[in-house]
Amino acid sequence: MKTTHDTGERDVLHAFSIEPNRDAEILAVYVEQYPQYREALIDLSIELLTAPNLDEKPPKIVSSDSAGRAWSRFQSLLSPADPAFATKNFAINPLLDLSDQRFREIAKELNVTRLFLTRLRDSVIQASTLPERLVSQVAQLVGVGVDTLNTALHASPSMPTGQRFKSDGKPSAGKQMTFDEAIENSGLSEEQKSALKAMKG
Amino acid sequence: MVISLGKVTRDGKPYQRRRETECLLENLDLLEPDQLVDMCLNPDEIVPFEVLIYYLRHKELALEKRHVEALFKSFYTRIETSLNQSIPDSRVDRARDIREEIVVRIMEKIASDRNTQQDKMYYWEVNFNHAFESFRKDILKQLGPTYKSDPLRNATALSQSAEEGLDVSPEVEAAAAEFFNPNQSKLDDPAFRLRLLAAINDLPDDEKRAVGLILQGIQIESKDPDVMTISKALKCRERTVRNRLSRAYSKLKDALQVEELL
Repeated sequence: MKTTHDTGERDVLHAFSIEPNRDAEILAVYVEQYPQYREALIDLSIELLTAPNLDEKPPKIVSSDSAGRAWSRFQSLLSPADPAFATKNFAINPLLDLSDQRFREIAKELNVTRLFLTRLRDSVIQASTLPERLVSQVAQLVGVGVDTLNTALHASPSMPTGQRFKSDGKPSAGKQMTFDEAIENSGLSEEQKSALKAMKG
Repeated sequence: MVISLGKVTRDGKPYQRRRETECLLENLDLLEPDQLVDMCLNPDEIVPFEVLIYYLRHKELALEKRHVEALFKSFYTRIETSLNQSIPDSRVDRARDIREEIVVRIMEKIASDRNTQQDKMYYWEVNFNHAFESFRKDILKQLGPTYKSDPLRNATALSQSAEEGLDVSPEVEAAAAEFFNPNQSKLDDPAFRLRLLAAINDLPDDEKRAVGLILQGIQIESKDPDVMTISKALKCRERTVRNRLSRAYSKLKDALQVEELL
């Protein structure tokens, strides 16, 4: 539903959207009663009709391997007062403590996209495939030792961090990928890709 | 007691969820949390997403962490399954990135409502499918690499007079009429329906409206002046409606590659 409707229009659209048996007749009644919202009602009726029904039993439920990781991410977004908040203490990832601005600056200094750095931060990239040179550069930029950063990057991505997630960089909820895969799938330019690949040498 | 939606009408009354959702929530509200979670996770009787989002969004329900976790994982897995079907690697560039982005942004929205007890996602408890589809389309608009160059999305609607001047062959018109017959059994096939709905959503607005109305069973024309027809609803001539449907038919046919089935 659009968000720019005036209150009266929004109320009418909402009432239409909860009609138990929406059909041509109901739509006609609404259009006749509220001709000023004719177009919005028609568009809503079509959007409701064409929205896929997600409550149908899917033919195949995908493996929920990543559900545990997603749950950890979700917990990290919650306020400490929330009963679902992660309370255990785990190794602190120094990249999680960065301000949005510093995160962007580091991405720039490393000459990578924020998506790539986000994947690095969230352990989406398998730490064992990361070039030492890159880890060393990141450690220097965030002001921690290489060992400290390595420990954090090797932590299981499903482990709750207890840290608030910085929403500027989106975490990944998918499976882990190798460094090479991350290079190809993180919106990097050819020049950036080449520079990263050169770090492996 | 079921938590009311925070949004209120101009008269100050709370917005309602759909009746079946309200009933289901009232019944679930009587259960102990363990029973409630069991009901929500029952694979043989899938609870609507509106129910899952209700329990995830409202911190004030004070469910224990293990309960929220079980509900969240069920929610996530179902969303992930749906996205794998609707944004497959085989048909969409950067599909994985887009799916991740959608999931992450939904998580952020839910967490935000939990943290602030605001009601920004109220509509997701009313019509989850519609809210999700709108959200998914918004993100595809932002991230979908083909969006800007897609000729269907960028098609300019013809002026009404130009549309009326076009000649559509009777054969195409007849095929279009058959294709858009809302009673046809092919619409009962979930896979076909998903592809058809996606293809309809890709049509230019004028054609999508004509198709959307005919699929709802509204007639193109009627001798009864009191009956709402598509031409009346869209304030255009009957000929224009037929032309839009014929053009839409050609595009949908191409998109679905179902020539052999017609």
